[in-house]
Formats: sequence, C-alpha cells, structure tokens
Amino acid sequence: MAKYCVRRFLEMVLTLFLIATATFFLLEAVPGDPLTQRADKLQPQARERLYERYGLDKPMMERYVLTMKDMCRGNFGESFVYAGQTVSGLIHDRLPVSARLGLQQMLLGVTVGLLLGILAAMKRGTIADYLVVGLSVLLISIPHLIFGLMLQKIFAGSLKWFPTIGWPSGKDLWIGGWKYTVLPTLTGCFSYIATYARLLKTSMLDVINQDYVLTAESKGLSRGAIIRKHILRNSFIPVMTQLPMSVAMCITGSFFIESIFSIPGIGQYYVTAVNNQDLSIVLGETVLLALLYIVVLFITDILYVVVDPRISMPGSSK
Amino acid sequence: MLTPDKFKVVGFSQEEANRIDRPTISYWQDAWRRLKKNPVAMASLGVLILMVIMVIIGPHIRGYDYITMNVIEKNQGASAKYWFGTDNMGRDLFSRVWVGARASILIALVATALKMIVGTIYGAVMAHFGGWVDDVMMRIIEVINSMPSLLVTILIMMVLGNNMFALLVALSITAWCSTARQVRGMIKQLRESEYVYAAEVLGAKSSRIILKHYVPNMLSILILDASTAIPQFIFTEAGLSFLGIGLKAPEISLGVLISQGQQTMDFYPSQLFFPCLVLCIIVMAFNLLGDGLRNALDPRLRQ
Amino acid sequence: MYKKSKVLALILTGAMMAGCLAACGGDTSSSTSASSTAGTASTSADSAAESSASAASDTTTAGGDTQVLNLRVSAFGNNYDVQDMGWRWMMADCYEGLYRNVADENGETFILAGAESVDVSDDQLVYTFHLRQDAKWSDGVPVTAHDYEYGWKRLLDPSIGYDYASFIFNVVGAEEYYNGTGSVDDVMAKALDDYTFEVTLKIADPTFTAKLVATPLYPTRQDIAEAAGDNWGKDWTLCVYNGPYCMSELVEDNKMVWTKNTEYWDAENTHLDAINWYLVAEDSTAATMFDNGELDVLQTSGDYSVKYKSEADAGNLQLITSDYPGTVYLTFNFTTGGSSGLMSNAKIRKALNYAVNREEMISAVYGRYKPAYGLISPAITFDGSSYRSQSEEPMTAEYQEYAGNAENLQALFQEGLDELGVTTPLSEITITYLSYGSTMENQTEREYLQQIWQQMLGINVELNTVGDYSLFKAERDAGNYDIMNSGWWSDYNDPLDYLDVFYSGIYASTGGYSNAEYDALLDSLDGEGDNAKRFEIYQQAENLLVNEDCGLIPIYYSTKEVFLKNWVKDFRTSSFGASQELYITYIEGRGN
Repeated sequence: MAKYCVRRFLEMVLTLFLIATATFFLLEAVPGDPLTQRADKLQPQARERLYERYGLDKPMMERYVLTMKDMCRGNFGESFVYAGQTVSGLIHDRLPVSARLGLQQMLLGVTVGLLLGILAAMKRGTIADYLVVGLSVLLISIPHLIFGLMLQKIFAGSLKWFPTIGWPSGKDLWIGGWKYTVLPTLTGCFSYIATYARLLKTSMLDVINQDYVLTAESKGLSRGAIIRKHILRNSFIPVMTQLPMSVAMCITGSFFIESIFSIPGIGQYYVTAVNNQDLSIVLGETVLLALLYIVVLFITDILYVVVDPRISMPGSSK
Repeated sequence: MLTPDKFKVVGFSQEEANRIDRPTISYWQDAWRRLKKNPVAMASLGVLILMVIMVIIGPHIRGYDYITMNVIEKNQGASAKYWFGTDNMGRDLFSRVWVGARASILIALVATALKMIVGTIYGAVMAHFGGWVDDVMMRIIEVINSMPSLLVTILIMMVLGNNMFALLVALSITAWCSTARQVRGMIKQLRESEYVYAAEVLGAKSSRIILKHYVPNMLSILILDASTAIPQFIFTEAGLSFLGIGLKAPEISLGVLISQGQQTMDFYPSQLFFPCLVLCIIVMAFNLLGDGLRNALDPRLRQ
Repeated sequence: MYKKSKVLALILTGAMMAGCLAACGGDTSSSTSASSTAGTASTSADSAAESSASAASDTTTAGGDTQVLNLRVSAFGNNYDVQDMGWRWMMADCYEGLYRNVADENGETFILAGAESVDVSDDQLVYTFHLRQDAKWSDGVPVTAHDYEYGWKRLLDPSIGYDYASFIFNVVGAEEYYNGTGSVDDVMAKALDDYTFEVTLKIADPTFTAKLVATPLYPTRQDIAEAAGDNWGKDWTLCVYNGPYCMSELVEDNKMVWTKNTEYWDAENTHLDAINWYLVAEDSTAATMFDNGELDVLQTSGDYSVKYKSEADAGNLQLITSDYPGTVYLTFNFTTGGSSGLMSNAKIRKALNYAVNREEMISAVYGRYKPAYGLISPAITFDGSSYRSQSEEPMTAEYQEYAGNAENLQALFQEGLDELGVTTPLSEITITYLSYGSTMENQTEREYLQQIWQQMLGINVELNTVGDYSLFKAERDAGNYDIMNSGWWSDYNDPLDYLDVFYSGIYASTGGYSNAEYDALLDSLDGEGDNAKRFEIYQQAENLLVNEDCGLIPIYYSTKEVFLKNWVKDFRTSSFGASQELYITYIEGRGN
C-alpha cells in the first residue's frame, strides 16, 4: 500500500510538472502582450519599471525557470491586470464557493439519480420506467445554461421565490444563505441525475439477470433482501468507478452556472482571466486546478482500494 | 404395415449435411436488423436525416439569406412570411437557425472525426509497439486527462483565437484520449483472444484478420464512441459561445444564436426558443440513436 | 503647449457604457476587481467603516425603511487611486474634491464641497481656495491643503505617469516638472497654510474651473499613499476616504458594499447606511433583479429601456434622463490610407459616412442614444446653454443629399476612386473594419456596419474583430484597418475637450488625423477670453473636421438614462466628475 501511494505520488508530481511546462509555453504563444493596456499610458521609464516588476523584460527561458521555482515555493504568481492579486489568494477566496456549489449539486443529483435508477430498474417496462428513461434523456439533451436561464426567469423573476444572482459569503460561506444556492444547485444537479439514473439502471438490469439472483429467488429470499443484499450491492460497482471523476469535476467549478448566477467561484474567474489575457493568473490557476483535480482523484483512488477488497493494489498485481 | 420397400435411399452428401437453411447474416446485418426493430432509434435516425436535409436546404427554403438585414421588420414573431420570426436586425431566423445548426453539426462531426482518427492511430501505435513507447504515450494521455477538459479547451481557444479552426482543435484536443485508450484496450484484448489466435494458427493472412476481426470490433467501439461524442461537442460549442469564447459574429452557430436570443428573451422569446429547440432535438436524436446503437451493437445486451 | 501629451483614458468602444453607471476609463473594459473579499474586509485599515458597517444592518429611519441602496454595475474597475480616474463613478461618493458637480431638475451645477470659498485674482491667474476646516478623513485625520498639494503634485509625478497629468499643465511649473525639465518645488500649486490652497496659472483659462470637479484633482494623503507603495490604488483595504461613504466589502465578480463614513463633515445629512453595488453583466439579469426589488436603481439598454420608459410614464418608476457627454464615432486610417489604400480621399470617406443610417442603426443596435451628425455632444454647455443648441451639426446639410440614396453614394465613392486614379470596380473593393468587444451590442454594431456599407455602396466589407483592447491596439498600430471603432467621453464641460482629441499627433484613436489648419485654429484659442470669439473658432474647427475633411463618422451621442424605484429620493447624477451623487440620497416608502 505504502509503495503504491509513493509511486502514485511521484507520478502526480511529474504530471504536474508537465502540465505547468506545457501551459507555460502554450501561453507564451498567446498573441499580444498582457501588460499593453497598463503600459500603454506610461512614460518610458515607468513602463520599463512595470515590465521589470513582472519579470517580462527577461528572456523566455529565464522566466520559465523563475516561474517554476516560484511554483515550487507555493507562489503561483500575481495578476498582470490587477496588481496585488495573487493566484493563491484567489483560490483561497473562491475555491470554497465553487466547492460548495459542486458538492451540493453532486449530493442532490447523485442521490436523486440513484433513486430514479432503482425505480426504473425495479419497475422495468412500466410507466415509471419510461418516465425515468425519458426524463434522463431529456435532461442530458438540454444544455445547462438553458436550464439555468429558465429557472432564473421563473423562480427568481416571475415567482420571486429566490434571489436572481449572488452567493452567500462570510460566515454563511459553507452553511447558510441557502436561498441563494437553490437555483444554481438545481441547474447543476440535472446532469448528475441523468447520468446516475441511466448508469444504475443499466447495471442493475445486468445484475438482475445473473444466476445468483435466480438462486436467491429460488431459495425463497424476500424481494427486499434480494434487492438490498444482492442486486444493489453488486450493481453499485460502476457507480463507484464514476464517482471519483464526478467529485473531481464538481470541485473544480461550473463555468456556465457560475456565469449565469454571478457566483464568485473559480470557474467564473478563469473565464474572466482568459478574457482579460491575464496570463499569470491563467497559468497559476490552471496548475492549481490540475493539482486539485489530481489530488482528489488520487485520494478517491486510495479510498477505493481501501474500501473494496476485490480490487487489488495495481502495483502488487503485476 | 411398415416395410423396408416403403423407404428408399435418397443419398447423402457432406454439403447437404452442412447446409444452413436460413440465410447467414453478418454482424452488421444483425445489428441493422436489431436497430430496425427499435422504433425509438429508427425515429431518431429519421429525425437526424431530416435535420441534415434541413441544414443543407433549410436556409434556401424561404429565400431570405441569413445576413441581409431588414430593420423595418425586426423582432417579428413567427409568421407565414418568417416561419421562425426575425431577429433584432430583421434577419430571417428560420434561415439563421439552419445555418447555425449546420455550423454546429459540422463542428461536432469534424471534431468527432478528428477524435476518432487521432485516437485510433494513437491507440493502435500504443498497442502495436507496447513496452516503453506504450508507457510514455500512456503518460501523455494521463497528463492531458489530469486537467478538467473544459479548462484545456478554453486555454486553447485563448492561444488560437476565436475561429473555426481554433474551436475544432480546442474541442478535440482532450477528446481523443478516451478513444485512444479504448482502441488500445481492444487491440490488446483481441490479440490475446483465442479466435484471433486460432485464425492465425489456421494460416489466415494478417489482412484477413484485420478485416474480419479487428475492424468490426473496433468499428462498433468507434461508432458508440462517436454517438456519445457528437452531442457532447454540440453542447460544449454552445456553452463556449455563451461564455463569449466560442465563434464570433458574423459566424453563427446554434450557441451564438442562443446567446443572442438569451439577451432578448424577455421580449421576443422566439429568438431563444427556436435555436434551443433545434439544438435539443438534434442532441436528443443523437442520444437516443446512440442508445439504440448500443443495444444493437453490443452482443452482451441482447435480450 | 497646453495640449494633452498622450493618454488613452476615455477612449472606448461604444458599448462599454451600456448599462454601466460608470463613466469608466478605457482600461476597465472588462470585469473583476482588486483583491480581498468579505473574509479580509475586517482587516480594513478603516475602523470607521467597520463600526458603521455593523450599525448598518439594524439602523432604520422613523419611516421604517432600511437605508440601503442597491445599484447595478456592469464592470468593477479595480482602481481606487483618485489621481488615476479609472473609476470615476466610485470616487464622488467615497472621496471629495474642491467642488461637486451635481445635476438636478435645474441642470448641472457646481457646488462647493471641500472648499468653502474661492478667491480669483483679477487677471484670472491666481486661484485661492479656502478649505472647510471640519473635513476629515475616515481615520479621523483632518483634510488639509497639504493633501491637495500632494494630490496635485502626485498627478504630475513623471515616474508614475498619470493619464490626466496634462489636465493641469497650465499650472505654472507643472509641465516642466512632468517633462523632467523642472523641479517639483516650482509647481505653483501650494498649501499656504493648513486650510488655504493656492494655484497659479500660466495663462487665463476659462475652462479651468470646469476641470476642478475631476477626481484627479482630489486630495490624497501622503503618509497613506507612500506607505502603500506599489499597491496604492490597487488594494482598497489600504485606502482612507474623505467622502460621505467608505468602501467596506468587496466580493469579486459579485458585489461591493459601501457604508456611511461617520467621520464625514456632513455625516448628519448622509442618510444611507449602506450601498450595495452588484456586478451584473447581462441586461436581462439586471431587469429581473430590478423587477424583483433586488435593485433600486437601473441603467439598461435596448428593449428594457423602452419597457421601463413606459413604466416611468405610468408613474411606477422615476426616470432621470439627459444628454451625457460621450460621442461614439468611427475613425479612418489616415496614417497609411488603410489596407485598401483609399482612406486618404475625402469623397470616399464621405460616401462611407453618409451611407450609415444613424436612426436605423440606433433602433436596431442600441435602442437608445441620439443620432450624431457632429462631434461635440449636446451635453456640453457653452456660455450657459448647450453648445449643440447654438451651433448646427456640421454634416447635416450634406448628409441629407445622400441619405438612403445608394446611387448617389456609389457615384460619390466612384468620384473618389477616379480622383485617386483607381480603376477597380466597386464590387471588387474591400474595406476593413476594425473593432473589438463581444457583447451583443458590439456584435450587432459591426454586423450592421458591414451590411449597410455593402448594401449602399456595393463594396465588400471585411470585419477585423479582435478579442481585447491590447490586440485591438496592436492591429491599429500595425495599420490593419480602413475604419475603426472609436469614441470620446468628455473630461470637462467645454467643447474644447472634444476638439482637442483631433489635434495632430495626440491620440492614436483618431487614425492619425492631421491638419495644420485645424491645429492652427485650436492654437489660436490659447489665452482667448472672449466667448464670442471662442464660439466662432469652435464652430470653424468642428465644421472643418467633421464636414470638410470628414475626419470621422459620428454615430451617436450618448444619453443618460437612470431608472429609479419610487422609494429612492434625492438621487443625483452628474455628467462630469462622478456619474452619480448619493450624498443626500435616502429611501422612503419601500416598506420592508
């Protein structure tokens, strides 16, 4: 186990290094100069000072080395456009917002999705089944942003039940300010509902046809017991493989939803930074998000191995 | 009374004994037969064919081109003259929707094709060489997969600018990884499978093995992959345009039309409704057809 | 020379103003703001803001209304440096200068604010400001003449290079200091004692008082600014305020909160406890919020503007509307003649100009504003009344001959081609239009222009559309355009502010327009104190620029249009200095 963890960890570091390098050189290829707008109006000497301050007066390779060193020290850079704004501060401020949004969406969506999946599988061929299947196809066929706009229009605009935009902050950051979170959470949870309902239904149907279920039935086990002990337990395996991806995705921000509801999360900031050509922020945020993504995948992987006895250590099986 | 003379020898031949009474059907014929039995999938296929026809001839049906403005008739609702109404510059929405849908579908198809081609070649190379080549190439895929894909897409758009080429590259740059993985897995599995081994032992030429065993198996994987990829691409394109990172006017796609319609939806909901409707129909048809294909192509799902 | 030396400042693409209470600078074209959020708000250096913030939540007036005002902004600047003026919509309410410029039912008026009285010498060269002695910064330190002196000298500091330094080049010693030929001690803007501030001008300037409301001339605290160093003006937690409100919270991309400044000299008459600014990019979202009561004040455009105007007519809303000193226009590539090489010909420029149907364009693209047939905005007053009401728009007469007549326009274009000796048929000529911005308005604007030129002139129009300002500038400097998007938002109330823009070699946004005759006309204004003379020169210059030379294609004059809920009282706007004045605003009858 320890050996596996160490190997995975080293792989992670290598991956991060590659991502940072690739992103750095990719951004070098962006046309235009990120300081143009600020330097535009300056006297030559002030302009030089500005370029010096951001290290843009140095050749590319030197800047690359400096950037990498800084990143190793946990310094992910300062905004070109907004002096004094650092990536680390940004993540500190915004990550909780995106994370709460993502987790709420996922918890609600996965729960409802699984329930619907069970319903559809158990009532196969009935109206309920068709409704669930129809609903899930509908839900994945309508883009997020249309859902978001509709919900906003109806529940904030016409009915005035919820605020139009905004997000709880301060002491309400994690718990509280629920009325702000209802519409964005609903908007985002639909795709989870659809995905998990379909996934669980398919896998349950697979399991229902297995011999051991037939055996259990012929032994006279009660229907409830069969579902709980045999069907559900075994049909959750594909769900378990899907979950880590969902967790990692959900924390790293919902670009569209944050934009519709003006939620100050990392996704929205990323888009803003891209539109502002704020290259240092884009670089830092890319690397940090990738880091986060990898770490979440890593942790869920480890947990997975710990939880499920049938999965042997990938390292030791070879 | 049953006597021997009531019987006669009709003869016996090896061919007769091995004759198959019912016509043999290939894998593809079987899949097609099963798909035909699925009314939802067939309906979706019909809708898709209709959509493709519409994006080709749709802009010409009404005789209004999609960029000529006519400010006097701006913001009209659906009518006999303008079937979907007009936009804020008096342009015929019916023509615009189909031109936009054409761009969206085209983008999705080309991006899917790129994904398939790059993914297949990459996967085949990995599987063929194995060893350290495989390791290195796999690592590259893992690096790409360690970033949320939308992030990479936006990054690429930033570097290459807002145009069709950039969009295609940005959309397919992460998408090919999953194809490559599947292809690699499939080839490795096939190479070790007994029937391929048997065919080799029986002296089948490698061209025959590739044509008869590799290609059909891979094709079914690729078809399924494509049927989920296409609606995804259509979605992503629409989302990027909504965020202002996608195509720029005067180029239009369904995403561009939706983001324009969104700004006027309080007053002229039809400008949002029709592009959304077409988008949803296309995506839903692809999804349902994909489901049908999955059932038809995957022998394990036979009932 | 007194001319401005460089500056991009208030040159914007047109759409930037839409829905934005801000008369922002050119560098605030997209959103986001400085660091820090709710979490760090408590670390604010400003203790006054904190105490009033806690009071805000439970203070109500006798009428039972919570004194909180909710406004919309479409982009946060992130500039809290008064000298930088990047963000003037904020400044008026958090800072205070010598004067305020306030518009109410009686029009635009100057009122004394930081100054109690002003003495002007007989030769109009020496201004002595007597400051009010009860004014304090939000940390309790008195506002003194030394703060004004520091602010003015900081504005001229060559090592910083503020956009608006040229604003006070007429002060003795100022331009020399800025250009490095003089010393800071020779700048004749001095504190005589703690409450007397004296300024000496080189030549009498009738527009000088008009400039005094501009935020670059506000006071700045030397100790605070120098302690903040490079982060001055970028990190709001380092700021102190001398206006009626203090900034107290910032949630990036979301909202900003101001609370009452209890140290303000007129705090007794400041009614609002808190002001919330919500960052809302989309008009549709803002409209939903306004309908929902989440916003009390709204600026919007297009169909929403029409809708709310009718509600205002029905008495359900208040509407403050007037001209706003901004003109959006297109400029030609004079430097190289453009990628087509045709822009050097006046007839071709005129054909392009007259092909644009402004009424139609306003109806299709903007939904508000006034069609422009000249450069100087109707909001600019001269000698007590609108300059436009005294001087006819220069291109009206000739435009009427061609308006909507494709045949005549093409003939005019053809004449131009003949003059240049170009034999290419119209249908093979391609003109490139350069612009940036991705809002709906930006998009329809460029599509409209492309269409109308193609339809009316039978030429081809290529759109060179870039993502942001830095790319726009690069394309502009590389000369990859024939016509580009431009515009001017006025800094002070005088026609000269507009005419100066086209003085040779000052702004790249004019496309390199250069005319010695025009420059000479403007030069002749130096020290000219006779208004009748000035008026005549203004008219000549505008006519030469817009009509004879066709140096630009005017599109529209900006207008101000603010919708208020009926419970918002005494909301003041202004066209120069700040765009809204909240110092006496209060809420009555919201009934929460």
